[in-house]
Parts: sequence; C-alpha cells; structure tokens
Amino acid sequence: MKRKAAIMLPLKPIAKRTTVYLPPTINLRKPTAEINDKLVRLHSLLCEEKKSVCLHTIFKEFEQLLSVEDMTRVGYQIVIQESHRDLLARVRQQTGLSVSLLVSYCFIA
Amino acid sequence: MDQQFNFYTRICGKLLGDGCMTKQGNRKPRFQFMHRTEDFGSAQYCYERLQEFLPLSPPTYSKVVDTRLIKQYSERYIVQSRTHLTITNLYATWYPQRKKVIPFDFLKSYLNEEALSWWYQDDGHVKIVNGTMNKIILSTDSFTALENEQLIQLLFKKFKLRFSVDGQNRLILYNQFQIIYFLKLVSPWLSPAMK
Repeated sequence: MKRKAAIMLPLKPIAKRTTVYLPPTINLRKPTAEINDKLVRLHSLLCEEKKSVCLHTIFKEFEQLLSVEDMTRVGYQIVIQESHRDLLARVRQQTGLSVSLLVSYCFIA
Repeated sequence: MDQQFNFYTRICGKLLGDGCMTKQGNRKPRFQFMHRTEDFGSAQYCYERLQEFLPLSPPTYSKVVDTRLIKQYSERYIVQSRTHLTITNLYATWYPQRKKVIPFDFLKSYLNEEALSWWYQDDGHVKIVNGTMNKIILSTDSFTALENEQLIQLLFKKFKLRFSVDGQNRLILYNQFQIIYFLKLVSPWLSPAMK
C-alpha cells in the first residue's frame, strides 16, 4: 500500500551555468548579478529550522504565479553562485517547482 | 473540532471512495465497505474512526467466488453496519434514486482535507516513474462525466488544485508542485498501512 504515500524526489544538482526563463515584465540588464542578488529571497520560503520549505505558505505564494496564463518568456543565460545552488536544489526537490519559477518568485516577492 | 462534523467528513470521503449503501426492498439501508485482505489495516483504520458514530461490525474475513481471477476466488475484509437513522438520512442524500449520485451540497460542507485523504486512500494513488511522482490519479470512473467536471470545479474552489480528466474518466493531477501539495494536504490522515 506504499503506492499512496509521497516519496522524496531525488536531489538534482543545479548547473553552474544555466538558462532561466522569466516573464517579460522582469527587465534585466545584468542578469547574472541581478538574479544572484535576488536569490537571497529564497530563504524566506524556509521554515524556522531553515532546513525544509514551508509548503503551506509556499502554495499560497505560488498559486497566483502558476495561474498566470502561458506567456512568452525571456531566456537569460546566467551563472548561479555556488552559495545559492545548494538552496535552489533543495527548494526544487521539496516543491517540484522549476528554477525559472523560483527565480521569478524572487523578483515578485 | 466538533466530533459530529469529523464524522461527516470521514463518511464523505468514504462514500466518494469505496463505501457504499445497500437497501433491500423496503428495508432500511445499511452502510458497508470492503478491502482486500492485504489492506486489512485500512479497513481497521476506517472502522475505528467510524464505529463511535455508527453501529458497525468489526472487519470480518470473507472469501467469495470470482471467476475473473486465476485462483477463482477473492479474499476480503468487510465492515457492515446495522440500520441506523443517520444511515437512513445519508442514504436519502447520496442515493436519491437507489443509485449513488454525488450530493454536491453535502460535499460543499464536508469535503475538507480529511475527507480528501479518506477518498484518496480508497480510490487514489500516486504514479511513480523513474523515481519521480508522475501524477496523482483518483479513480472516479464510476461517476458521470458531469459529476467529474463538478468535482474538478469543487476541488479547485476548495483547495486550488487543478485536476483534469483523462481518457478513462479519472481525475488526474499532473503538476509536480500540486502533486507535492496534494500529498501534504492528505498526509496527516494516511493510515499507518499507507506509509
């Protein structure tokens, strides 16, 4: 009967160089610097003990972001700082959200 | 929380899932559910949480002929009720023409996370492909297409979950984030046998 319970998704490392796709409303002139700056905001998604994501709050935050109709997104090739890569990988593992969506969140939050 | 309310949420989930009501002729209806022997734990879990409110017999083993199976029989645990006013009232709500029809007004009041969890444990599962959770399936194939459409709307209204219908008339959740959220919602009420 184990087929009903959640399983932990594999922790996939985040590539150092990657492309993120953001809504056109986010205008970037220096994508690597500006995105790395904002990624600090991911910490606000973590619970007090700072290890796991607060799923209940995150769902409310992202429900709106996910409900936006598909629109053209702009791709930016960037280099993600090592200090952010581990956190991004963990948040992605625990939420199933893509790196692009998580970055978009950091700009809107 | 109000115990009576909790009872109605559980029965709501169970009737969306494997629970059913039977009525012979002009007799009063009875409530029952059964699980295969491997899922005795589930039968016991539900029995313990309903028996305070309904006159239920504990899970009882039975063996029935089933020619569809290679071994020609199936083994199961069945929980049956005696007649009771609550069951008679529930029957009128859920079986208006002797056939189960989803009472959406009832669901609006009682389909909460616990009901969702009971329903999921009966008729749902998560499909795992290559170590990731591919989709959540709720086997709603016995409901009409219209009922499933209304269920999708209600699930969105109550939980912001975006289910869709597949070719087999089942409700499916594909989005990875929503799958994780759904399983978080139902997890507090998963019976130990499901973990």
